[in-house]
Amino acid sequence: MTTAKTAAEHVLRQRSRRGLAVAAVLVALIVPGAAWALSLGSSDIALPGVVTAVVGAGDPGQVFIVQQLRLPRVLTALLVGMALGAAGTLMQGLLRNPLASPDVVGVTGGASLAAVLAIGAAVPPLALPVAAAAGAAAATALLYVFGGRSGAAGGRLVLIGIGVHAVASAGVSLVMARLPSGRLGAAEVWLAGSLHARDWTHASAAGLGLAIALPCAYWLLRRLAVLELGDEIATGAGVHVRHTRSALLGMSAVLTGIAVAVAGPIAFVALGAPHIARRLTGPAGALTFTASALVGGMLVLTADVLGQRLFAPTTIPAGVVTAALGAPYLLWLLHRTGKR
Amino acid sequence: MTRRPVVIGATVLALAAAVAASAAVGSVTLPLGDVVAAVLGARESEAHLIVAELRLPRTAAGLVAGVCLAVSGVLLQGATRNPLASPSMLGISAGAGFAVVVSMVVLELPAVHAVWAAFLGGALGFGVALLLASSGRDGLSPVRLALSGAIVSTLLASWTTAVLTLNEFAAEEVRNWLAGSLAGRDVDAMVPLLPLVALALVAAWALARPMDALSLGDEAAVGLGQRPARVRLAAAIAALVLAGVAVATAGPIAFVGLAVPHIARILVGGDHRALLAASLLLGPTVLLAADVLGRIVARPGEVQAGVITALIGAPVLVRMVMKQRIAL
Repeated sequence: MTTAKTAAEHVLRQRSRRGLAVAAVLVALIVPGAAWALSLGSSDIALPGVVTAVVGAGDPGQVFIVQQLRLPRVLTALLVGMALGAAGTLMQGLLRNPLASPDVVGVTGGASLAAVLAIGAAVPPLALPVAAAAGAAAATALLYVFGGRSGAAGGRLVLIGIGVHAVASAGVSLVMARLPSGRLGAAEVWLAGSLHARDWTHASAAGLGLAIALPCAYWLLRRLAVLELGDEIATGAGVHVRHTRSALLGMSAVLTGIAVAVAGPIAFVALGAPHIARRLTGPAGALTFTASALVGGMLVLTADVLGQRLFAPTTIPAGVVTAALGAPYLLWLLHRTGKR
Repeated sequence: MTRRPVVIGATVLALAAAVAASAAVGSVTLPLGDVVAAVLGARESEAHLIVAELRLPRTAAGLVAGVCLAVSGVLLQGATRNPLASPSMLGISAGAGFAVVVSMVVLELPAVHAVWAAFLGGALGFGVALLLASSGRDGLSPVRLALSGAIVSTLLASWTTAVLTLNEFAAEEVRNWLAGSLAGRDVDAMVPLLPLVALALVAAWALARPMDALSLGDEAAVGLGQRPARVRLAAAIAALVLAGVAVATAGPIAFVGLAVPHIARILVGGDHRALLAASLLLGPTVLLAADVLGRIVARPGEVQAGVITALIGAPVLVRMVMKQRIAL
């Protein structure tokens, strides 16, 4: 008995060591990646110039470009990706299904519907994120009312989420068909998921949101781990299953809402990032969660840079890039799981 | 099952009512007498122009797409023994829709080729969704199949958005079609597809008995002299053809293929021949009713039929799930 216990602890310790190493490597990759992203643009700036510009020294023109145009965009991309990666991990854990994500259960769809409505009503630009977040919350409320309360495991919630998503996307095409052509373009760009022209307002909004949401998410993670052992064991361990599930669902929606509000629905990051993180760290709770958020940040940043560079001078929204890359990844995932 | 003739009779009446409403109701209000006269051939009136040029083609499109979607749903549900199987839940509609958008907007092929693109795209979406669903440990559970279909559909829908974003000036016609509209359908383009539809319907009828056997389980089916794998393949091909025609005709319309077989099952039971007959009648009834509703609710504008079917169909799905008609 004790040997089994020590063996388990040993495995866990090894895993968490690996997880820590992975997280450290990810952070170590993000910093130069971000610096590289800062150096790219309509006028490229050499890396030393970027570093001096970030701290405010050097050529004033470069300081302006880096501090006012590129830095907020890069930060927004990272924060949005982190929120999506984190939201996806919570959703997949909660629904006990590695295929679940806020995209397919309607949370993103609700945000899109609200945002398209707001674009149609010609709200001031600053109200758009608020509308999108409210839409995500409304979709989650529907999910909760129809599926969450029953306390049944993931399957029911997944199917109801697919229904919510269908209603939301029908609503989006309904609104889109009635938008005047002037606003149609704006709605379409928003729906594609773009980081174009994101400034400090967006970056600080996302930063503030994550600063509040991420600690709460970490606090919930321990309960999620207990929940994953099964409802009965969780109840035995003193976890209120229903409340915990609602809290997880809500937290996943908050994180999705932050991301979608700032950058629109960027496809596949919430689904893919947790898979990539699990492959790197193994299933190890808080560290996988951290890795997943970091992977998400890297994915969105990379997608944004690729979108700006691939077909320059035409820029492609980051969401289009992640969607395009989503399919090959999906196929690769199939190939891998098929082999097991 | 003595009530079966009554049910079929009522369904025929409902379909006739839906067809009549589709000819009679629209953004322009016409006296009923004028509509009848126009259908019977009183030429050169305004009513004749509206009814013959706009409403009858639209009704024909609704008939074709409705039949195709409903029968495709019966075939898919029968072949997979999965109550959630249907063209829009398995990535078929989204795949076909994406392929048609590519063929029309990117390759700028004439609309005649849309149907081939739809077949190809539908098969691709279906294939990937099936692979994704069967890669798990517990195999093709309803939830897993639905999730895989939803993922593939979400992916293809974002690809479609991408194509439209990059081609900002893509015709409004394409958007209209993507929302699942019966308006402005070209009947001449549909005529060459009818033999294909007929062939698939004959195949569906021939597959009815084998699918009855399948519903008893694979072992029992083998015992009854069936080859489950062959039946499934044949049903899948026929379902793909039907769904492809439906998408090429009316766009990716959601939930008709899912809901109609379930309604039919409640009315006539699980026997596949009865199921096919009832769905054949109910499919166009539901789609035409949705189309007529879409013309009424937003006068003088209109809402696409596909939007109405999604708005009504999704709550039906949620209700089915909550009533536990779907074994999880």
